[in-house]
Parts: sequence; structure tokens; C-alpha cells
Amino acid sequence: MSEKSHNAAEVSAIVKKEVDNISNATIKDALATILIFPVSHNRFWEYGKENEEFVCWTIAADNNSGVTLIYSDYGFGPITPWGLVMESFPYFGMDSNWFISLEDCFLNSNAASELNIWSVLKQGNDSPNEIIYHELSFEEAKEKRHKLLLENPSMNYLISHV
Amino acid sequence: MMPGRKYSAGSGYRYGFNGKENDNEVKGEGNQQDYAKRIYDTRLGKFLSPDPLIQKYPFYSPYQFSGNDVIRCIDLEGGEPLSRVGKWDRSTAFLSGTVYNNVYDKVSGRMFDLQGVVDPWTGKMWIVADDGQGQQQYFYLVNDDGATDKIRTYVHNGRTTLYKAHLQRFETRNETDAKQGAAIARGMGEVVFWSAVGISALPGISAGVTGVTNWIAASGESATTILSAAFGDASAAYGAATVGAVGGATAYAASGEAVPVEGMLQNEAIVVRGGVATTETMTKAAERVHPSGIRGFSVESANGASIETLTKSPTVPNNQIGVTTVGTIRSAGGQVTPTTGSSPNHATVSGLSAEKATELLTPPIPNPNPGKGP
Repeated sequence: MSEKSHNAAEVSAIVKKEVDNISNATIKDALATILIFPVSHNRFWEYGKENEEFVCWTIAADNNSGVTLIYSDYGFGPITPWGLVMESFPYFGMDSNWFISLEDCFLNSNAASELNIWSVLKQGNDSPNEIIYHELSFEEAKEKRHKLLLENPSMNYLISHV
Repeated sequence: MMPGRKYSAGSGYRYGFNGKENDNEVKGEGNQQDYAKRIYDTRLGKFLSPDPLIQKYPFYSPYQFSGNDVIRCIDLEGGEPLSRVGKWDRSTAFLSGTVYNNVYDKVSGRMFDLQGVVDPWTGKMWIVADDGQGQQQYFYLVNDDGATDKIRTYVHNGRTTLYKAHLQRFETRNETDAKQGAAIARGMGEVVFWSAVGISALPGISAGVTGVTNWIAASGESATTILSAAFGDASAAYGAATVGAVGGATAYAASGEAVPVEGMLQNEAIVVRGGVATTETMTKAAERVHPSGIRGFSVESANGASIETLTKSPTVPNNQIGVTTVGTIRSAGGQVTPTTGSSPNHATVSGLSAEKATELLTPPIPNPNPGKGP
């Protein structure tokens, strides 16, 4: 079990700094609604010694989507300290749900799905991606993308928050 | 009978050194042998023509005999050496000097001979560990960067050591022979067994073997069983080891035909990775080293599992996912190996550049089970 490298107040300050760096007001406000005062817990680190545990801090929780955002200096932490996990899941999980920034972490979660920030883009082969729809919720973007694929199955369509 | 010609009625045995047929009529008894591909002069100790397989063995003299290893090998048809020990010939280019070792297992007190061969068909280095008493175990070499065709070494304190590589065990000689029959017996170049039979997570195992640090990765047997099989009674000395999940398996016979083997992922298996892959994220991901020693990025994959099933894992909470198949990854030069993890379908993709990995996982699609878990 690891020692706590930070206390709750220090983690809270790190979170605040991350939030302050978010330029999109919609994203910033939505994230702010699910932030909580940091609570520490341990998670199993699967890439180290057997049964190795490290301290993590729960910093955001969304009961609607079941999303929990956490912070850790350990595990994937040094490079990607912001984790998107299931609260009941006691592991760090895969590197693919750990992010460099809190904003990326939030946008990869279902907690951001109701924000009208999502676009559907047509993927260009040698040209830039083309925005087809924008300012959609994630569910709306999924539906639009699905229709586009039915109409033109040879094309690739992306959902992004540009 | 013409003058000078001899005939020994009744003896009937026409074969001599190396088990080859004597051409007694040309230069006298036992002085010339027909090796099918070349003629060998036993008085000179040389072949009379260059090796027809010289392009396959650029590191040998074109007139060499038996891979310059007449103790261990016979010469197969005048073309290439064939080990009598494991019926594998070896590449002196890669296993020269101290790397081609007798290794001593301190725990069992037994000496094992490591012999390797580069198989040009698969591009893999196969290794047989032989104790000289009939016990042989079969491995192939995987460097941590995913390369399987060469052994990389460095010298530390006068010892030559494998550099960040592990030996991945595949089936026993008998099992392999049963599948491939005469193809194996014909020796190198015919050996096309391909295996990534599951992985057990073993931290670096170095204690038992002098001069060679091995990370032994093996199939779904317990780690201690594998070690016992490979290096005698090695069990407890190596401490606790986590045994990994084992996926499906595919082997390829000499004909190239896929032969299903338990424990390895099939080409058709779907591969899922959470999130939107970018070159930046995949560059970091591809550098991670799983406890098994495999360098690569984590995915979810299992034979016969759908995207719906794979994304039910709590390890894929992302709202979007990248999807590809094991076959697509293999076609791009990579490999997907079942590895330990909190998910039973955890696997590691190795041998792909960040750019290629990003390309294969793009475009991302919406995750049908974002954050729902099992």
C-alpha cells in the first residue's frame, strides 16, 4: 500500500488548476457540477507486483451516468494522472481510461454526453475532416452518425467535441 | 564386372558417414557421398559445389559442412545443418559464442543446452532447451519491442545476457510432431509452427540460469509447472507468479493451413480499446510493459466475443472505442497476446507503431456500454 503523496486540500488545488485551464465554459460548468471534495481510497495496480495497491482520490462523481473521475500520482499517474473508472471497480484498469488532463478525462466519460458540444465529422482521406453536424448531445450525434453511415456506408464518420 | 569395380555381395549396406549413400564407384570406397543437393568428398572434408541454400545461410561459408557443427548436427541433403539433438538447426549468426550456452539451473542442478534457430518462414527465433537426457522444451523468443527474429544481447560482468526479451513456450516436441509430422523432422525451413500460446505473468526470472536472464512466459499451466518442466524442479525458488488468462490459439502447419490450438486468439477475434486513439496517446500506450514482459498497449479481446460483450468490461468506461481484429493487427506486423488483467479478456497488442495502431483503431465508434460495467 502506498503512502499518500498529497493531502485532500492539495489534490483539491490540483483539480482547481485543471478546471481553470478549461476554456470552454459549457464543459467547465458541467464538470464543476459533479466535482466533490477529494476522498482517498486504494486501487489495485495490475501492472506491478501482485496485489499492489496505490492511493487514488475520487474527485468527481456523477450518479446519473455512474461516472467516477479520480486522480492518482501512482500507476499511470506520473504521465496520465486523471482516471475514468467505475466506482465499484477496485482496479486502475487500462491505460486507455487514464488521461493527461481532467478535461480529457471528463470528455471521455458519459458524464459529458448530455452537453451540446458534440459534432459529427466526415473523415477525409487526404483532406481535413469535414463537420457535418455540430452542437449536438452525444446521443444526438450517435443517431446522426448512424443515419449518415446507412446513407453512405463507404464513408467514415467521427464524433468529436471540436 | 569391369576392372576396378567392386561388388560386395551380401553386405548390401550402401550408407556411410552422416547416414548418406556412398558413391563408391567414383573415387573408391567411402570417399564420396551423395547428399542429394551436393556431392561430398570425405577425404577433403568438403562439398564439391557451393551450398544451393547460400542465400538462406549468408553467415556460412558456401562450402561448410553441417553448419560447422559436426558434433551436434548432421548435414541435411548437403543444403543445411540438422541438429541431432532437437532436430533443429541453429543460426550461428545469432547464437554464436557465449549466447549459444549451456545454462545451469541452480535449483535443479541440471545443465540445459539452449539451441536456437531462425525460421525464415515465420521470421521467428525458435529455441529448444535440452538437458541431454531426453527432456526438451520449446520456446520462441520475443523481444520486448515485439521483434521475434533476433536475439539481442549485452555483456555485463563478462556475461552475455539476453536484452529485454523473454522466451515464450509453445508445445512439447511430441505435440508439435504430432501436428506437423515429417515437416518438423525435415528440419529448419520447414518449421512453421506459430504460437503465442497464452502468457503467464512472470516477473523477470533470472536466478536459476547462469549468464542468461530469461523471462519465461508460458501457457495456461501454473507458473511453477512451466518452470519445473522447463528447468527442472524450479518451483518455489522463483516466488509467487501470477498466471494469466489464456485465449485461443492458432497454429499454422507447413502448408500454411491454420490449425486450431487451444490457448491462442484467432484472427477473427474482435479487438476493442477504450477511447479515441491518437498518435500521441498510442505512443505512450505502446511503451508500456505488461508484467509478462510484453511491451504494448492493452485491449479487450476474446475468441467469439462481440463488441457488446467486450465493452461490458469495467475496463472500458469510455464513451467511444476503437475496434479492429486480431487478424488485421497480425497483417500489420503486430501480435495480440492474452495477458493478465482485471478483465478476463485482457490482451496486449505488441509490435505496432503508434501510427499504425492509431490507424487500425480509427475511426472510433460509440461505446455501446459506456461506464456500465458487467
